[in-house]
Amino acid sequence: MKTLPPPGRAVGGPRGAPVAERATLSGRHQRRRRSLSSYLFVVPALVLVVGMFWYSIVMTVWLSFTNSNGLSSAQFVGLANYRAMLSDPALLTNVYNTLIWAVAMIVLPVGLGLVAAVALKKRRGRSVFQTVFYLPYAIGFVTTGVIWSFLFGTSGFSELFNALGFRSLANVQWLNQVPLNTYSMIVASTWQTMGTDMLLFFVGLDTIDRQVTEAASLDGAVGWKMFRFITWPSLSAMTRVIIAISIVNALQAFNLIWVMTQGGPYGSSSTFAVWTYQQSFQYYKMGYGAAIAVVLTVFVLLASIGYLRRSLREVRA
Amino acid sequence: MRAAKVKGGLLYSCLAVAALLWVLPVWWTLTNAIKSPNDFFAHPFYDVPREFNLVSNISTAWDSAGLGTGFINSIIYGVVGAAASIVIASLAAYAISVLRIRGGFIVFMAIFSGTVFPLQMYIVPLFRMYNSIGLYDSRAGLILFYTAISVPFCTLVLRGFYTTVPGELREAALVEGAGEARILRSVYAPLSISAALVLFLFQFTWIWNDLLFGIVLTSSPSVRPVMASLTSLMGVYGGSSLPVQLAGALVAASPMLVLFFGLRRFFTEGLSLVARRG
Amino acid sequence: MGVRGKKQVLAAATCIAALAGTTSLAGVPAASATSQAYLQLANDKPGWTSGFNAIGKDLAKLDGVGWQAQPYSSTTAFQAVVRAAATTSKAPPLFTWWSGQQLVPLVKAGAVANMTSYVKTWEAKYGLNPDVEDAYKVNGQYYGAPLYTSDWVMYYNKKDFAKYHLSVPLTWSALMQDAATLKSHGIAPFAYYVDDWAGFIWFEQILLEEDPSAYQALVNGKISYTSAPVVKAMATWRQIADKGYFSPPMNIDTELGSPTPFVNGQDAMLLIGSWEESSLTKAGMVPGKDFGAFIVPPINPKVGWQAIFETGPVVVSAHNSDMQQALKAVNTFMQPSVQQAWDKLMDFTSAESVVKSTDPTAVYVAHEITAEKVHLNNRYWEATPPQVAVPVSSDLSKFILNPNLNLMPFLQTLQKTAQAYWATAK
Repeated sequence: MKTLPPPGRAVGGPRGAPVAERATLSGRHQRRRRSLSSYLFVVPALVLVVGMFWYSIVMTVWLSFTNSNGLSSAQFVGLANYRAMLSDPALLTNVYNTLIWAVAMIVLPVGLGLVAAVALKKRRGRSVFQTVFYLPYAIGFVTTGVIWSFLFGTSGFSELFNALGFRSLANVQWLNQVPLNTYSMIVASTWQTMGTDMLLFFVGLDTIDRQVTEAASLDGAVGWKMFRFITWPSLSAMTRVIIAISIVNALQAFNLIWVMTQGGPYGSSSTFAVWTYQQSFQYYKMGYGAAIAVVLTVFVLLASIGYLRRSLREVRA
Repeated sequence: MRAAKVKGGLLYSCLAVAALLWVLPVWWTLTNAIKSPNDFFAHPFYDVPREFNLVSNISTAWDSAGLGTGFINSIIYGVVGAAASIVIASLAAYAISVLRIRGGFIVFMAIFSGTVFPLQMYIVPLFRMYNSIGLYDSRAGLILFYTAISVPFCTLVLRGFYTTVPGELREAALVEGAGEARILRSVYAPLSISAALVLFLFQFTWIWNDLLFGIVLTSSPSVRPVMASLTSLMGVYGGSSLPVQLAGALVAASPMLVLFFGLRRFFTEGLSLVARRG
Repeated sequence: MGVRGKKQVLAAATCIAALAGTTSLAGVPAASATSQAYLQLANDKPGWTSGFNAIGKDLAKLDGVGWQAQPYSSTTAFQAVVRAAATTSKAPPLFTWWSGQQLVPLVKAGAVANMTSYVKTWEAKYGLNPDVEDAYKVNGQYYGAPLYTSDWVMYYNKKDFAKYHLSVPLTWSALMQDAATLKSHGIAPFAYYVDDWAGFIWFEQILLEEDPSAYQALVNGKISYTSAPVVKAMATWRQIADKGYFSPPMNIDTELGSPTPFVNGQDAMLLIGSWEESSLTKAGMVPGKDFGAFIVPPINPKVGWQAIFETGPVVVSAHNSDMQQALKAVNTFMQPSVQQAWDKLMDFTSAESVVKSTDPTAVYVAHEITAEKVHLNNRYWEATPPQVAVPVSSDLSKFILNPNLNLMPFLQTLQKTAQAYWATAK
């Protein structure tokens, strides 16, 4: 018979037992032997990821110090590309757009997904809602790109607004006005991914011990109180995961932007991820594009390390 | 109590409105995929179709885009890539979050950084690498790539998930003499089935959706995945009308839809974890 | 069985699939018993796949060597991959590319095979248009065979023209008059596109129609973007925009596959390459009945009639071991009977004078070209190096979205980009 666990520790049990207790379970020798075979567990993942991607990453870093154009032989130019980036007028636009995407994609789909998941946790029709919100992701990136490009085009929403009598709205050029174009694409992207975050939250919610929630509600915790003291803390593991992945995805916003505006018009909706692709493959400045990719990666790493390290420490505590 | 119910009701109706707005573009996708090109060009897009032309649109898309082999290939890549990555990731996640190996965070970041780098920049280096080691234009090569690209996310999710499993289950098993592999297989894996299914769904969807690497790492139609063929319906040179594009896109998306509806039961009914208390 | 058991089964399936993968044939199937070999033709025009493959089979029947399309649905990915492989033996034996300055880097890197000896024959025997083939000339040698040649024409919606009693304009003022009439009835005279790459469309057309020698000088870096002819052309362009003759700017890549406003008559005219015709016919329009085309009349009648053309080659890799076979296939492709079949399949017009088209629109345009002695000029995108074409086209969309911006500083930005290239070129 479990008593109500203190707030912040909905999944009860002695997980927080101090390390010293654990040490008595196995001697030093056993521990060392265990850690050797433990490392075997990570070998497949490491080999696969490192083998597949690290060669590419190293090659790109090397490229960033050259003036490669992807065709003829490249010459070493040192930090020239990085210096050029600092004086490139496009830099500010890209930084700005990348940040907007990052904030929006962390707040909107995650926030909406969380609200929806919690609100629908025990309701009837949960599966209908889940389906409706997940469908955009299920119909695929290509379909999303096609339909939203159309809707934001001249035969899309404009027609609808005209028919409804909203003339001024009908004349809006959703993908050609700055900064509206970025916001329009964010709407499409939120529409597409909110359902996935909601799904992950559902999974997280399902792991909350039923006994705990029943006991809590018997104790009078309902609505907001239930959320704040029971639901939210136990969702923390899943939330961390979702936010971590949202940080990475947001900073790398590429696919939808490329399909809808190619970062245009005149680079106004470009993010770092789009910029690196454009410079490498449209302008044939592979060295420069590589430098941009390196800078982006450094930012994403810093952001995600910062976040993940904290979450890992908290879990250990 | 009453206030809470009212607030809950308000939230519910807001969600219902949101759901309606969410479904509109999907609805429009469907209706416009059904329209004949004439119908589409002659009337506003929000009108309902005047004739049922879906089958014809699909067959036009199918023929122009050559979707057949791509379909089969993508199913193979999706199933194998997603499943393999979940297995590999669960091993790594177990070691990092449960076994607490030394340098676990560094190992984790090494795996995680696979996704941090902007994916589209992998095109040329991977193309060169695949050519030099002979993986170019082969199913094995694509399977390896899709598995590798899925491992980081799966590791992240499973790592987080395994931390919610109470440690005493493992300790009890250890006392009974079970090895770590056995514990992972019999204790953690069953408990994480909902997470695994979600991951399978997501990774399958990602792999199914991939366009760039499908076309860069392969050249033969017999090896290429479905999106590579689908996007031939779009664009400036020899594009098709919107109804045909949408019909093709929906057909190409159908396995993802089928998979979602098939697995939905597991997400919406919720898996009771009372078992682990027993 | 449990989750773990299922996973084991799937892991086994992985291994089996991997084995299957490694034994799958990669690339070219070996010559069959009837000794017909097919070489890969890498391209970024997946909509042309069935056309490519049909012709490829014809080529194999005729001469033993044919081709098979290897489509890439992303132009940037295609270019990246081809450039990465171009100087290695892994380069595709045949691939489509671009003409003019876009071909020059490949030639300089030694990536493409010399076709000069073949070209002499094609021009002599089949009447290959030298203007067109010149687009593939680098340093006096030829490196490509035209796969398609598209004139940039003004498509017009015949229903709109009939409704308002307009006829095909033979002078620039007649064209502007037609535009004014259409505008007064609420129809957008000219469909207008803004995409990063589409910025040059009206820029090149107007400059060309006013001062073709200035156009040629500009694309070759001989005059500045701030020079008088360019300023004048921009002013003319601005005038048209100010009169409201352009439709609201659309995204070309979204719209051109499905050009709704033109199809339903909201936009009356469409300045685009003749390759767009297949999208128009797929949308249900009938050439000659629903739409027609004409060459844009000169703004300055003294310079004579001008038109923009675009041509895309099929080139042969100089590093692939099948180079000789590939050249043979290309040579067969240039035979009039094959050209005829190809053009019929694709609604194209051949660059060879002995090959006649049956498409009424193309016939009219060809007639106009002969009658008015229209001089063909290569498109801006290929006529000037990509290091200039790409950024300038992108910047021109600023003008498209805001024609009343401060002109001189704008032109100075364009010149700066051009300068950066031309200063270091050669």
